[in-house]
Amino acid sequence: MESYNNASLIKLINELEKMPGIGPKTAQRLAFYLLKSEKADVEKLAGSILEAKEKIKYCSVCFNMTEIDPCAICTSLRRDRSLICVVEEPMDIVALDNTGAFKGLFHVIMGSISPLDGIGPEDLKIRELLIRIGKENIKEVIIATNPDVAGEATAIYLSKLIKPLGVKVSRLAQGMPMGGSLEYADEVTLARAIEGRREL
Amino acid sequence: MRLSSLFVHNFKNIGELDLPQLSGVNIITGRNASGKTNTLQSIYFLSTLSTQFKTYQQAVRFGADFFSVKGGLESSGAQKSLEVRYGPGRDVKLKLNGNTVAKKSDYIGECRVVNFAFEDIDLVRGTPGERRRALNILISQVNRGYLKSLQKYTAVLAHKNKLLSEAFKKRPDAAVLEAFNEQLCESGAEVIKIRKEAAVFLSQAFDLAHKRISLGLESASLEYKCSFECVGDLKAAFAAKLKELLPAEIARGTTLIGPHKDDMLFKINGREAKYYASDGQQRTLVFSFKLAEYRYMQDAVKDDPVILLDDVFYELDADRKAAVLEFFRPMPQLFIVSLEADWVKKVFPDAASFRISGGALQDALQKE
Repeated sequence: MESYNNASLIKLINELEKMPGIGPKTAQRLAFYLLKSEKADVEKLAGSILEAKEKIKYCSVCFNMTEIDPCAICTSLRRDRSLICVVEEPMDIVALDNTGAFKGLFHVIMGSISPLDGIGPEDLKIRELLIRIGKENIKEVIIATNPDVAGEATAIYLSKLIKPLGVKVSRLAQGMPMGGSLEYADEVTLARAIEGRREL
Repeated sequence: MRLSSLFVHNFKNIGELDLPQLSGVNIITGRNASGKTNTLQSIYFLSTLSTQFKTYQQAVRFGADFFSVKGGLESSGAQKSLEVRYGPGRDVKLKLNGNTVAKKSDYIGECRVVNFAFEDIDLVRGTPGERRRALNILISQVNRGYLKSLQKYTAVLAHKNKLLSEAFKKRPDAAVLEAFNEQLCESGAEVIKIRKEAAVFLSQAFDLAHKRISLGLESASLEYKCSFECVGDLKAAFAAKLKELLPAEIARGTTLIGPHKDDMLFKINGREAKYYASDGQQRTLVFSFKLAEYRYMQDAVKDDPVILLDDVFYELDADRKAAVLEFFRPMPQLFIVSLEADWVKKVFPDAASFRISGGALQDALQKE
């Protein structure tokens, strides 16, 4: 294609396309946007990507993303240090923490057990979690892995490992979304919601 | 329910086929390889999303790069539209009443069909896999919970089998296997439970239909055969057997029991029809089974499915053809593939006939 004979432009589009949620069309749009922008703006963007990449590391305790190790959550004095919530990705911490409903600590295991993708428990931060439970005074572990096959398997696996340590293990409730209408909920969701019903 | 219109593009050997007005009885005629059967299969695909191929790509017309099937549907007084599109390297795109549907399990069952085809005989003669497939497609059309449990079971099974297949180079973690087994038992028990219930209903309807055809001389039954002894609590029995078989599964590198290994036996006078029935008996058995499928759907959703008849009259003389057609008289909508339209017209004078040629409509001779 003659319109695409600029090697550097193709390279930029290819790099953008590697990002999650970015398809070829969006990558093209972003590339042309960047090329149209002021050089200073582009430098600012490139600089902030590099800066974040250099400064942000994984917390050595909970594997959250942080500039200061250990992270702010792990060092906070206002949090309930007897509770750990286990999540798959650092992004999940943001979602859960924004609720304000959970005041305990977190632990990111960096994925889920998925044999089809070649990911086993040894590839996840599970050993680190068990060491934490042994060292710190943890009373309850809340497992907040995704409700898909791999996430469920990880939850069951973790509960089998943690329960014998004498620590309470719980799983996030599953069921009806807030503001959801009963008629639009699928059978599985409804069945789960009935199983997990609460007394009023 | 009734299909009111059908639009097919680039599906198998069909280039562009527009049937904007369908009747109660529709005869599809044409020469060999003109696209008659493919027209029927496009309706089957629009309903069940399944073809005889391994991939959707194989159903794309030679030289084209996509296919689409669209249909209008009247179901209990309401009008619906269904659309399936497939392009290379993608999954199928589904639309219901113009709105995109993300999950197949939210689409299958909108249009329900029973397909009578020459190769149905494989249900009796063929492998357990073919019988499981027939059961899965049948139940999924009327029970979305079943389809979801089946999809979950299949996904969990793939993970577990992957672990087991690598067991020879790396001993799998027992707790990880258990984590998958637990999910396998939950979804698997649900699948077996619904299949067994269906088999009980089907068996009765099957015997009734068969008695009518065999003039009461033979008794026929269906028996759901579980791959493990499932007595008492299904989930507990499944879990116990999986635990017992774990060393064997590790040695063999695959999951040895579960709904993916179950079977459904066709019996005639108490004996397995695969071995003890003649060709003619096997033909009448599958025909009776298809009528039982119809009854099952009708009973489950209180609405009649669309009937597809693909050359099931092939081996019959004119009188028998007419006699068989009588079975279908009470059903609201039929699609009949045949080389000739005349003999059908004798039984159903109001039938619409469509002559297909080279994968397109040659002429529509509606209600002459």
